[in-house]
Amino acid sequence: MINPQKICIIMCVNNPLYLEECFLYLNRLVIPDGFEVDILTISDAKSMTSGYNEGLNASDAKYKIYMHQDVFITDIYFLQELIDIFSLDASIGMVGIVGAYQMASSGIMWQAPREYSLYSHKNLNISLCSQYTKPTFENLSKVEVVDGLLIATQYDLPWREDLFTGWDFYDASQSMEFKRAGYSIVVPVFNKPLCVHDDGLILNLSNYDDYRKIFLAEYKKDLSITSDTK
Amino acid sequence: MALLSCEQYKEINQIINHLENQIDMALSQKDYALASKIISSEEVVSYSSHSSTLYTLRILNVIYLEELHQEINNHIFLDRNISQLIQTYIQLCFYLRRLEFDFPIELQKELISFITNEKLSFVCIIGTIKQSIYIYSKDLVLNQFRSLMQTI
Repeated sequence: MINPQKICIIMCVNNPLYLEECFLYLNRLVIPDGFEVDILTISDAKSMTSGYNEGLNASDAKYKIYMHQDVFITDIYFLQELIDIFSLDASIGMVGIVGAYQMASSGIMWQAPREYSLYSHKNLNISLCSQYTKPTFENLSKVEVVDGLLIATQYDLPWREDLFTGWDFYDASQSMEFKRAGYSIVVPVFNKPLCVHDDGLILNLSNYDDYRKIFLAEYKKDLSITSDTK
Repeated sequence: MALLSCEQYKEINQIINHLENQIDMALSQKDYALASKIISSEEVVSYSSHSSTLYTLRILNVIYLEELHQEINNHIFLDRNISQLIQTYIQLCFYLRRLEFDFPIELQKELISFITNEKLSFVCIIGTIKQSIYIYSKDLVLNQFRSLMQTI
């Protein structure tokens, strides 16, 4: 039985240093009235998809936040804003922090124009982090795919652990699964950053190309690639 | 950013491992000048775009050279291997970010104990604030750090 007054934060973890710091930020978040929040950490996941499926199956929360251990949520009203985004429109299935309006034909998300709600050198305004922002249709951007640094959902769809057995493309795949199910995906554009992503700057792309090919084989027909980018 | 094939990444990772082993060897032999020389090499500079470890070591090397210039004995490379260097740097960035995001004073003060325990120099702290791309409001953090130091 799904609990509509519950939020579950799910993380695949492998670094106690990051996890401990991540918790400091999570513990500062304002919990929406009448809600309870669980945090599930999965430390021995074989892949991101299998770890997230383990979390998904273990939790009865309606709202789930799948996030990396190196994401530090700085907007203390993030949980309330998230619930309010989902309450705006039942067709919103997924919320991200970084998303591409349209996936690039290559299947590489960063080659497409993207929307960001990340803290960066361009949006230094710390005072904004301590103010609640009311979500409206005007301050949400519809996107096709979101980055896996943080993905929030209000419906449960299984992660494709049959296809994505590593640490790449689980995010783009899950975005496409939500698209196939008829849900929309949004990134908030609140004129304030929501979190810091301390990913060490350089990504490990050792297996990226293999999973990119798997992604395109499965989802190319579903992508809304415009004719000039095909 | 160009995407390479998995085979190309395997080759790159082998070279990176080799470079890291050379640096670790120099550090373990306390030959800090050699470690610094390898980190400054064109090869490391080139491959640091594929390795967050090499990228971070380049930041720490700038700090080390400044510490050397200022004749600081407890320099950042002293008695640390690569793994310890990276851990120290990450932890330091975490503590400094707490200043940026206005955490309670008791959590901010953990920075002081960390600096003391790890015997980090002010050059190291200032260098980290200036060079870390994940410390955003650099002036604010610098000012917060100075204020924090005045409380002890």
